[in-house]
Amino acid sequence: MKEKLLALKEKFLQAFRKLMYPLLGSISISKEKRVAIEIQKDSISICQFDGKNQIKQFFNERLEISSDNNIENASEIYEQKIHKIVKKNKLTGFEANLIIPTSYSKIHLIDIPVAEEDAASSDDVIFSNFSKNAQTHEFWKTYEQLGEIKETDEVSHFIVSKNEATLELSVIVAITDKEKILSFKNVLKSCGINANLIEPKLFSIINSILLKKQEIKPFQFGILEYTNDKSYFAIVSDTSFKFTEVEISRSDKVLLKQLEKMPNPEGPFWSEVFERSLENVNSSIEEVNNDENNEIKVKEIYFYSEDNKVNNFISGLKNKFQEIIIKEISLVSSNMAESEFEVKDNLVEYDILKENLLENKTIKLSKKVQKTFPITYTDINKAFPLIGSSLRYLNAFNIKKKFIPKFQINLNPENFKYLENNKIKTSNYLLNSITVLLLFIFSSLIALNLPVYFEKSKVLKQHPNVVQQYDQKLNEIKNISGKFKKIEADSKLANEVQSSNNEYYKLVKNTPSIVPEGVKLNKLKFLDNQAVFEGHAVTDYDLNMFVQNIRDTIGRPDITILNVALILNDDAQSAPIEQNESASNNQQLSQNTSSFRNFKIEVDL
Amino acid sequence: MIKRVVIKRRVVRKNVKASDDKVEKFIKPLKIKEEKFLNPNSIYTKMFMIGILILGFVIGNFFVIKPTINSAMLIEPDLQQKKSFLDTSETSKIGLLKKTKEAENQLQQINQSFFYTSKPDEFYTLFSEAALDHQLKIYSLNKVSEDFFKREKKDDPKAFDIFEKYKIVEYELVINGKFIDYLNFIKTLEKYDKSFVITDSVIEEKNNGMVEIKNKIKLSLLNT
Repeated sequence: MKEKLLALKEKFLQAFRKLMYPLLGSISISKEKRVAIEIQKDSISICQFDGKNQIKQFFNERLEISSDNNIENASEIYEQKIHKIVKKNKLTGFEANLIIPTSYSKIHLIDIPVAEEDAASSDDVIFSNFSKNAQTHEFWKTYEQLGEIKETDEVSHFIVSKNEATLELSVIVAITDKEKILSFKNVLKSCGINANLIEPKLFSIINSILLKKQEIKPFQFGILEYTNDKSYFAIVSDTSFKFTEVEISRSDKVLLKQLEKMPNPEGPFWSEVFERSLENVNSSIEEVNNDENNEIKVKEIYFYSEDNKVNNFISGLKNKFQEIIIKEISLVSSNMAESEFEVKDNLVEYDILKENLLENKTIKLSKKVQKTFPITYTDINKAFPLIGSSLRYLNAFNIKKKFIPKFQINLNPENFKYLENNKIKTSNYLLNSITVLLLFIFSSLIALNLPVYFEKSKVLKQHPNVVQQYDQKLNEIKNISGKFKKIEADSKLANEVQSSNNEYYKLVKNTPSIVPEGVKLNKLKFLDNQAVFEGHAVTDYDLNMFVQNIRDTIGRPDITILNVALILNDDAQSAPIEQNESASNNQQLSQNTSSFRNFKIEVDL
Repeated sequence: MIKRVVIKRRVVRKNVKASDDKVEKFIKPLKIKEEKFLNPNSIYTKMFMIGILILGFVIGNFFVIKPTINSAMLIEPDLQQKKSFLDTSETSKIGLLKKTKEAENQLQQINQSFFYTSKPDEFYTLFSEAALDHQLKIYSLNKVSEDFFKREKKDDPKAFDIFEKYKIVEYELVINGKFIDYLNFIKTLEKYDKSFVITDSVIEEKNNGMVEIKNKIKLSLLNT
C-alpha cells in the first residue's frame, strides 16, 4: 500500500514537473536580470544577454590599478573603480555570472553510482535528489579521488550525463577555496551586484564554443586552456565530457616561456619539451580516438590563452598534433576593415584557423553593440568566454532552451540556497500573478454581473411584496367577484323561485274584451298553462268571432266540444234541449226555444 | 632635528605609495541583503489563497449572483404580469363593486317581492284587504302543502337540490263575487307585485251574475 502510494506520488510529481517546470523555468529565467562579469587584474569585462537572442552590452574597461595590487589585498580600490563602471552602465541591482580563473578550482570528473532508491526515477528526479544529498562535505569526502577537502573549500558539482548501462552519473566536481570566491563576490556585492553564479573560465570557454558546435550534431572537439600558471584540456562531445589538467613541470614552463623569445620551436629539443608538456593531452586524445565505441574522432582542438605571446607554443602544438586542426575563436567578422583588425587583433599575425563565434544562429550582437564593437574592447580575442558565460542562468528548474549552455556548474557556496529560493520566488511570482489575474478576471466578471445582480436582487426583493399585494388585491376582487356571483346566483334562484302571474292576469284581464255579445261563458279554467273556455254562443258567427278574438289575443284555440243546444224562451224552462230529440217535436220546439252552440275551447297559453 | 627629518621622509614615502591607487570616498550603493532560505510554506499559503479566491468566486458567482439573476429572470414575467394587474386592479375592483352593488339592489328588489316566513299573515292580509276592497267574499282558504324550494339535479332528474332559503306554500282559495270585481281584484294584486302564482283557476258562473272562483295559489316565501 505504501509502495503504491509512493509510486502514485512519484507519478504525480513527474506529471507536475513535465507540466509546470517549463513554464516556471521560463518565468524564472525571464525574471533574472543578469550580466556576465570577468574581473581581471587590471580590467573588467561585462557582457549582457537579453534573454532572447541578442547581446545587449559588451564592453571592457581598464581599472588602472597598479601592478602590485590584486582583488584580495586591495578590494576597496577595486570596489571604487568597479562601482563607477556599474553606476555608469546602470547595472546596480543586477545579478552576475562571475568568471573566475580555472586555476582557482581543482576540477575532477568522477563517476558516481545512482542511489538504489532513485534507480527507477526519471533523470531530473535522480539529479535533483543527488544535488540535495551532495550539499555536505561528508558526502564528497567518501570519494577518495577528490583528494583532501578542507572546511574552507567549496565543493560544487555538475552532472554531465547518466550512463544507462552502468547506472552511474558522470559528475564534474570543482573544489574551490571559499575565500577566493568571496573576495570577488564581496567586491561586486558592495557595488550593488549580486554575483550568485560563479564558474571557472574553462566552462565559459566551452559554453562559448558550444554556441557554434551545438548547431551541428554529433560533434567532438578538444579545448586547451593554456596559461602561465596552469593549463587544462577537455574533450567535449554532444554526449560525453573528458577533462584533464595539463601537468607541465616548472622547468618546462620556464622553457616554454623562453620559447616565445626564440624564432621558432623546431628541433628535437623542443619536440621533447612539447612531448613532455602535452603528454596528458596526447593520452586523452589517443584514449578517445582509440575507443572503438567512439565513432567520432578528435579532429580539432580549440586553443585559448590569455597571454598574447604564445605564437611559438601554438606552432609547437601544431607540430605535435599534425593531424589535428588547431583553431581559435574570434569575435571579429571577416568583412571587418583590415586596419581596424590589425589594431585590435594581435593574433592575426600567426597562422591559425579562426572561427567567428558571432556567426551562429542562436545569438547576435544588438545594433547598439554593433556600432561600438570592437572599439570598446581592448583585447577582442580574449573576450569570447564572456559570451558563453552571459548565457548562463540559475535555471533552477533546469529547463532546456536553445541558448542555455550545456555546462552549468556554479561555484557559489550558496548555490543550493539560491536555487531553492529561486524556485520559491518563481512559484510565488507565478502564484501572485495567477492571484492578480484571477482577481482581475473575477472582479471583471463580478463587476459585469453586479449591476444586473443588484437590479435582479431588487426584483427578488420586490417580488414578495408585489405578490402579497397581488394576492391581497386578487382576494379582494375574488371576494367581490364571489359576492357578485353569489348575488347573481341568488338573483337567478330568486327569479326561478319567484312566480309570475303574467299569463293568468293576461287571461283574466283580456277575457271580457274577447267575448262577443252573442257568447256567454259559463266557465273559465286555467290549468297547467292552459285556458279552457266553456260556454255557449248564440250564433256561429258569434262563436267564430270569439274564436277569432282568442286567436288574436291569447293563443291558438282548440275547439274540443261544439254542439247545438236548445233553450226555452222567456217563461220556458231554461234548460237546453238536446238536438237529437225526435223530429216530430221539432216544429213546436222551434217556436218555444232558441238554439245555442255549446262549446269548449282549449288554448295553450 | 634628525628625528624630524626621518618622520617627514616617512610621511612623504607613505603619500607616494598611496598616490598610485588613491582610495577616494564614494557612496556605496545599498548593500545587497543576505539571501536567507525562503520558507516553501509561502507557496502553499498562496495556493491556499488562490483556492480560497476561486472558491469565493465560485460561491459568489455560481451560488449567489447567477442563481439570483436566474431566479429573478424566472419571476420577472410573473412580476410584470402582477404589476400590470395591480395597475388595473383598482379600476376592475371599482367596476366589480359597482356591478355587485347593482346586482345587490336587484336582488333586494326581487327579495322584496317575496313574502317572508317571519310575516306569515302578510299574504292573508293582502288578499283579504284586496277582496274586501272589491266586494269579494273569501269562502275558504286552505293550505295544501308547504315545502322548501326544490330543483331537479341536472345529472340526476330524480334527485333534487333543496334550497332552504325559500319555501313554497300552496293554498286553495275559494272566492265569490262578481267577475268584474274579480277582474279589479286581479288588477290590484298585479299592482302589489308579490311573488305568488295562481297555478289553477276555475271561474264558474253562479246565479245572479255571481261567479265562484276556485284558485290554487302557490306562494314563494323567503326564509328570514
